[in-house]
Amino acid sequence: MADIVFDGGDFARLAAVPLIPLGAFFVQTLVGRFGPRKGDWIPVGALAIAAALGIFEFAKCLTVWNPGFRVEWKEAFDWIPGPAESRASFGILYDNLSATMTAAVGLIAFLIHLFSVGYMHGDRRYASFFAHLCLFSFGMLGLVLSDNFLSFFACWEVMGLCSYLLIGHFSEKPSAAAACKKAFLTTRIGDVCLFLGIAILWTRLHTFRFTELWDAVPRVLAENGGAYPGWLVTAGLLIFAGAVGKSAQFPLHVWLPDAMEGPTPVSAMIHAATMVAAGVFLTARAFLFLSPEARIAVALVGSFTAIFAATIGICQTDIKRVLAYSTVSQLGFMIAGIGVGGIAAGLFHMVTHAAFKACLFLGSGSVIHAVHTQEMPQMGGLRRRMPITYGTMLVSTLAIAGVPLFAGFYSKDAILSSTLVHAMEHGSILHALPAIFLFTAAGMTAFYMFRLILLTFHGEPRDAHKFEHAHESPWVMTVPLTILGFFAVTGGWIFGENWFLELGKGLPGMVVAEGEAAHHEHEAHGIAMWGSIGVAGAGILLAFAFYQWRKFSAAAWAERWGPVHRWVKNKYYVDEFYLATVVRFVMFLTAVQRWFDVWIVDGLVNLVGGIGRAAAAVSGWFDRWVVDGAVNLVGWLTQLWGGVARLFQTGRVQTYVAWGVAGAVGAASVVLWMA
Amino acid sequence: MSLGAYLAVATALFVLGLAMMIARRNLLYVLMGIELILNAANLNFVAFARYAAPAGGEAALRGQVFALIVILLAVAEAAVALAIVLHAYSLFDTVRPEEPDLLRE
Amino acid sequence: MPSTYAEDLARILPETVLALGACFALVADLLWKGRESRRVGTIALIAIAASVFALLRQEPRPAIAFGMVTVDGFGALFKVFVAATLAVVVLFAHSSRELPRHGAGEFYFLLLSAGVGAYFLVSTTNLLLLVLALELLGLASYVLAGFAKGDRRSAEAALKYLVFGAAATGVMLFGLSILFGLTGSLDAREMASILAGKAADPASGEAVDRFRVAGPAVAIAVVLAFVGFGYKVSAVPFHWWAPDVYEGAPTPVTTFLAVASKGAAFGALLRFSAALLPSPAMGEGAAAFSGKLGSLLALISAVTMTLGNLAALRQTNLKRLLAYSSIAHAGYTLMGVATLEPGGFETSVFYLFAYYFMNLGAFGAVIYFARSTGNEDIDSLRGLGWRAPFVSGCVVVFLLSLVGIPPTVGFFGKWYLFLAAWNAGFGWLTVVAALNAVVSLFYYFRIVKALYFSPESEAVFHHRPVPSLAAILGLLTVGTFWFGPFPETIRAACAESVRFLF
Repeated sequence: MADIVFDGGDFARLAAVPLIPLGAFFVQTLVGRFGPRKGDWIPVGALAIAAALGIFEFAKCLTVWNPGFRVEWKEAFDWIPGPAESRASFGILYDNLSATMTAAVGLIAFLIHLFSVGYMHGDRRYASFFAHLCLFSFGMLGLVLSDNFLSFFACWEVMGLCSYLLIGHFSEKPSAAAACKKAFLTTRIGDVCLFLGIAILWTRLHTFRFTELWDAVPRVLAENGGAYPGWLVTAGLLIFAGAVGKSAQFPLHVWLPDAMEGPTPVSAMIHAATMVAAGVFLTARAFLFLSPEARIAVALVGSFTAIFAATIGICQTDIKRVLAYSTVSQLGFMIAGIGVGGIAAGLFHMVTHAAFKACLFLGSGSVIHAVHTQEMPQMGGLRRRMPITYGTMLVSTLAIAGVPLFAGFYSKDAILSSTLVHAMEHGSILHALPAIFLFTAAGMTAFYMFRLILLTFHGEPRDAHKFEHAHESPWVMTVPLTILGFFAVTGGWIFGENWFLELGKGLPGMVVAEGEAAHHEHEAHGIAMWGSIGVAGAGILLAFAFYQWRKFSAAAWAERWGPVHRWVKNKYYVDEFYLATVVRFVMFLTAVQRWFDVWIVDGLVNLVGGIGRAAAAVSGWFDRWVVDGAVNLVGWLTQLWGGVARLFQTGRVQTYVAWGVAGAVGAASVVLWMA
Repeated sequence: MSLGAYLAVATALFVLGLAMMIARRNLLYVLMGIELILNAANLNFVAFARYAAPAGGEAALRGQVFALIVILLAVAEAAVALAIVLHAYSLFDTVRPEEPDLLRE
Repeated sequence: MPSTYAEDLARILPETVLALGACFALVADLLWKGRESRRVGTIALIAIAASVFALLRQEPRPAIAFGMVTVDGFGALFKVFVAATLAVVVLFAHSSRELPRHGAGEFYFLLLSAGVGAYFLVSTTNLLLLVLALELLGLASYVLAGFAKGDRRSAEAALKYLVFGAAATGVMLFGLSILFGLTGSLDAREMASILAGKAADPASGEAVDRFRVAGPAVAIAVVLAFVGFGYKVSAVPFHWWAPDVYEGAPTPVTTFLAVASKGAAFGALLRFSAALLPSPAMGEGAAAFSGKLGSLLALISAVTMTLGNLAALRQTNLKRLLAYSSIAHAGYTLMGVATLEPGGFETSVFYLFAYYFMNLGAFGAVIYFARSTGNEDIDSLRGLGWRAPFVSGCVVVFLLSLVGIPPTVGFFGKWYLFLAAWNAGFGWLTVVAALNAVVSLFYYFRIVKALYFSPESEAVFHHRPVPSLAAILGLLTVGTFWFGPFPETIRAACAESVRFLF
């Protein structure tokens, strides 16, 4: 296990990975629209370079085989210089995790940029779309390379802003405007929690740096007799709340499906490479701050989200919404995997998911581009018209469903076996719940994904007109699809056992099983593999039974389970619940605030306005406002000054000279008087 | 005559000059007021140079030179001032200093 | 060893270059028959750039030309300040519609001459040269103020400026003559030690503590002498001319007066305060007088900022509002002067740089908007925020900085000033200044309100973008933002330069 020689040049290249897109963002914002092709080649080129650099450095990591691989560029930029406890400096933390993420994010973001060239062609705000997309990529790349919570949070917020801008790209559509606002506000709840968590860590440990924080945790535990002190538990849970917001976990998942209002490349970006992945990444980075109880909470939140979103996904007819809920569900898998201690498994699933979910989204974009609708009941039979799209989407569906040999199988299998190990080790029903939830959710995943494929591409065209006009998309759209499809097939082999599960053992907080635990693990692995193949097969078969062979009628089943179906189809009325409680409460607060505004703030503003008017009509003003006691004093002052102005600033130059002379005499008198 | 007498005259000139600037109702007299003030200062310089400094010394020369230069300065100022007053006269049609009062408060 | 004439001339190369540039501009305009105002402006710009270049190559010299001129880092910093302002004023003059189309040569000649005056103003402790420099700056400015030919307001501004300015310099001259009488010297440093009885009077050959013998006379003389500075920096009660002249003069000239002229006057005030300032080592009388002078300046500072801000509250004309705001900012800047300490002076100099960015920006915006609306009323800006988003955005930044909201340079400038005043024992002044900052929020916000939150003005106007002007405003915005969080370069230069004074 030789260590890589990581020199300044490598760090410079790494620093360039986020900075080049940032620079491209500025260039594109300022002058992009004046350039040829409205400057789209600037962000695309920047991302190409960033991706190439990221992959280059990743390859360098692969040349050594070291689970504990971690290099740092400390204090690359001193933002606030000073003594250690009041200092803020940014640097780069490069370990197996950030290496993989840099390469994966860079590549996927580049492909999405490329796809957008075709998809957004002719858009009114084409130039600024690319600028925002580019800034979005900067946010994620900067985030994965950050070595401290401060720049991490800054990048986190940059992504929040970009998601707002991009989801609201078609801001003339009221639904898009509402969606971007919703995304921004919902994730904001998590962001505030994250910020508080960071603040707690900083006040206690006086550093933002990840490595220093990780080193501090055992010390804190030792001081506290091995238990997590209350503040650390609080901090851990607050930071996880940040991840809940960003990764759209229950109960803050509501923004992600609405985010479909954005253009499809944006959806792909949010769902695959950025945003939601950031939350998972954060959970992995902050794993050490989570107490054992908190970890169970994490696992439960994740697994519940997985099954909860999967059920909703079954009942949706909008192709993008199905995918959206599928993302929420898959994110639940990852979070749950991390929560039960399978950090590497969760991250593994994040990377493979990034590949096939990006492919699915871009594929759906390609379909929407062709038929101009998002409703699956109006599609059907498209595989003959769009063979490439069909092929890549099918491959990705196989991957997400967990069919052996495809990428998703390996990663999902790893998560499932982690939950099983977890259940076996503790043996309580609480610890077993994640496993039960996730196995069920895995089956559902296979079902609703094949439902999507069958409804969209198979059977007879249900809308002849739309079918007639459908055609395969241009190369800028199909090439990224193909590349992503390739990774959907091979991602599991490339990374899989070799990369994540071995090298991931070096991640902070990852426990390497030994002795009996190792036996458990082996046993669990076998069960998990056959179990996941079983549920996936069952889901697929069921989907074919419903939608291909028509053995059962979906409509009849929906009828039979009427109330339940409605409940699920309407997403369990979570939105409505929030509307009735949170939103109404906020409205109430707003009313209070409005009252405050109208009576107090406006009062103050009016007061100042009054000051201006008063000078013009001193006597009338005085009559009108004299009753208002508080205003009186200021009014009097202003009136005085109005009078003063009239007395002094007469417009006659001789008066000025006279007052100047008087002033000189006054000043001299003051000095003499002071003697 | 003693130094005090010169200083008294100079101070009187200074006060008169200020008074002219403040009170006269003709811009040309206001300009003359400026000249009076400048000359009051000149008188001071020369008187100090003559009385308070040893004759022929450097300090004496300084005062004299200062006065000479201020005279030149007064000329330049008068030239500019007359031009500006003339310009104002052509636009406002008056030489009364209080009449141009478009800009106030 | 007295230097030769040629050597002296080489050492005032920046001034010489600027003066030659002025002459070139005048001659070139004659040759081009007054039709090539832009090219004349380019000559002016080249002259300014050349003088800055010459400045940067200068070696510090304590006294040249019979001890009249001091070439040092402090002067260089202020000359760069003046030159930078001049350059922006030239560019503003390109965009402004108030200046006559013909006669650009005269305009630039006067502008650069005023610049030469400002250059000399900040590089002397000699009273004679001080008066000459003030007059050169003043005479050129009087004419510039009236440069919008045929405009009655402009003519009135020139007249008022002339009368008030002449009176103020006259009073100052009278004060200087008394100081000369008391000491027999014309150099402020020498004067200070003679006054304190530390050096022999060249006239009588005796060393007498004049604070003891002739305390009131010294006090009156110094106060009269400071009238000239007070008028140039528009400190109350010598500010009366400023609102009228700022409003009436063409906006590029107003910019020059509000930034270059005021900045140079502050430079001279700092230099003379430091030179005349009897250090405590000079004896009790001197120390007591120094304390009184500080208190007087603090008082003037407080009154200046308060009056400026309160008067600005009720203005409807943007330029006049900025004039009062500029008076208020002179008050803030005086806070640092009143401390009579290097640390305080440093903060004043830094504040002038902050003032440079935000005030040039504000006046540039006046020119920009006046091109569209045809006047300078705040009322006619209504709704312009959406029509001219870039410039309006810049204006918001300038206003934030003028109020003193972080992270703009204005905030840090104020912050340093407040700290300096507080540490110098002027706690009450700091409180007054903070209250003033709050008051100023109200009238600056009115502009923002007009730009963004008001129904569009009924006045029919055609928004005409001026890219060159917008670019300058953009640069100034960048400066306003950049030097807030990253003030170190300028702060270091300020600290460095102030050390030459003490």
